Amino acid sequence: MSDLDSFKSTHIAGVRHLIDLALSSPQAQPPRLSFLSTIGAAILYQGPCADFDVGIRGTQNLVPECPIDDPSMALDIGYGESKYVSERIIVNALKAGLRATVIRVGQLSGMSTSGEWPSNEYGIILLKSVLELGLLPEDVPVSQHCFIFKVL
Amino acid sequence: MRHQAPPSSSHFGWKKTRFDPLYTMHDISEPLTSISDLDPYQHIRSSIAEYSANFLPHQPGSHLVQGKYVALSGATGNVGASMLDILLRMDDITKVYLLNRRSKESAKASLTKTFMAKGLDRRILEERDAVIDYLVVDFSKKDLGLEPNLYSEVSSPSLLRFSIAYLFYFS
Repeated sequence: MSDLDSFKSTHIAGVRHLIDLALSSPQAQPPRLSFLSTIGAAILYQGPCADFDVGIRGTQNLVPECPIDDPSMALDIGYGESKYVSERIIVNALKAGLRATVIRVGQLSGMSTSGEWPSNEYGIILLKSVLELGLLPEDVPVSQHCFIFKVL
Repeated sequence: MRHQAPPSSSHFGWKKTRFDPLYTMHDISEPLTSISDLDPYQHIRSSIAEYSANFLPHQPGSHLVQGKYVALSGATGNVGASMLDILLRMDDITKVYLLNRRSKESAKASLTKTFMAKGLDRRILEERDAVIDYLVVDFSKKDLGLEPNLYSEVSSPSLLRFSIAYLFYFS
């Protein structure tokens, strides 16, 4: 898995350069920047009062839909961290007049019409592995097992 | 000894706590060299600081504007293609700038492929061709690798109209 550094020169710098582009606008209001982030940027969120043994699925751990300054909530691989970093850069640019929206996207399934689903994405890789191994990962909640069986 | 962020205990890290004593504890036999020895998130914080430096604040201008302009990156991808399809079906969109990295295949060719694979109607790309501007960009460059006049065109189309949004996605 690639680390944060591997996302810097193009992806994170790209966010910065698009922010600069928006801020350079001579219009009354700069164009709005919509950034598609990922739930991975906040997936380790533990709530405002982090408790060692409280599961992440408790209601007090719903991730608030607002900027959160807490690097420990980002999935600790380069991808999750790079999205978290990009979110924070955008938040910092608000003071310079940027108008922005951050959307934390989860796993998207295949097209509703054709079912097409990029085969290199996490969800489909998981399903393919289940077929190949004849095993289900322990971490998948039982309620999701039924869904996986239906899909297969 | 340099303390790195710990490996995930499970893929989604449900067991991970932000105050894990195993990696915040410092071996007292070694002198502390910097605060980063205690902060497993230092690499994240420094990256945010590095790319948040010296924003030039927006200077509100007085250009009267008409029309809707969108710059969209990642249009050849899964989310981007669907987004483009929606944009092209809106009749009040004046222009969509597609920001794509240079590749062997033209952006239009790979867009057509994505549209077909996803079961989207690729005829919309031809029908609305006048609305689409295919721009080859380099996101690592300050000016996105665009000619100065093209950069200001995207920044403020014709200085008469209004660009409403930049949509940016990477995966």
